[in-house]
Amino acid sequence: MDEHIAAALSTLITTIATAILMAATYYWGPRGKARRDSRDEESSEEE
Amino acid sequence: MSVRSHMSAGDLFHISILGRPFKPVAFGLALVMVILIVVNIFDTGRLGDSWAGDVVAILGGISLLALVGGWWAKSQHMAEVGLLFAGSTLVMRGLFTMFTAWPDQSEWFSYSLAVIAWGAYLLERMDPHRMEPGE
Repeated sequence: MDEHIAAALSTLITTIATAILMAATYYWGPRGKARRDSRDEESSEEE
Repeated sequence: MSVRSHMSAGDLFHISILGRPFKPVAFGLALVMVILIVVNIFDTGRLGDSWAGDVVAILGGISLLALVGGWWAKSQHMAEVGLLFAGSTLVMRGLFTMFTAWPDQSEWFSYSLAVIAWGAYLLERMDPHRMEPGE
């Protein structure tokens, strides 16, 4: 593969993978879990 | 032992250097970043003189600054940014090697080290007992 295309593809995939990892730590981390729990509590109270 | 000598799962318990928490994985990755920065600045690494090498050197520089800065400033956030960027640096290196010279040993080493870096990032970021001033 041409070096320029390889470098561009590598940069793109690395950026996407890093963003996904950051989002995952927020969603599955303590802060995201607390947010989900409070949302679940609110919906069960409404029922 | 003061509370501040331990911030998260990545710190060695009861061990501090200059009164600062010590993260062995982060220390090892900082050494890897130094190697990647030097070889890519002088274009002697696996990535040659391609601009991917410059990206790796810049990412590695950000990671090294964050890792050392996080240790010096006792900042858990900064240390986590350092681990995240260390993983990104290694993934970038592995991908470029894969696209240009697959199969290659340096590619597998890069991915393996990236798993260590991002694994350490996940451990520290998602540690329910992590401590950061102001939180």
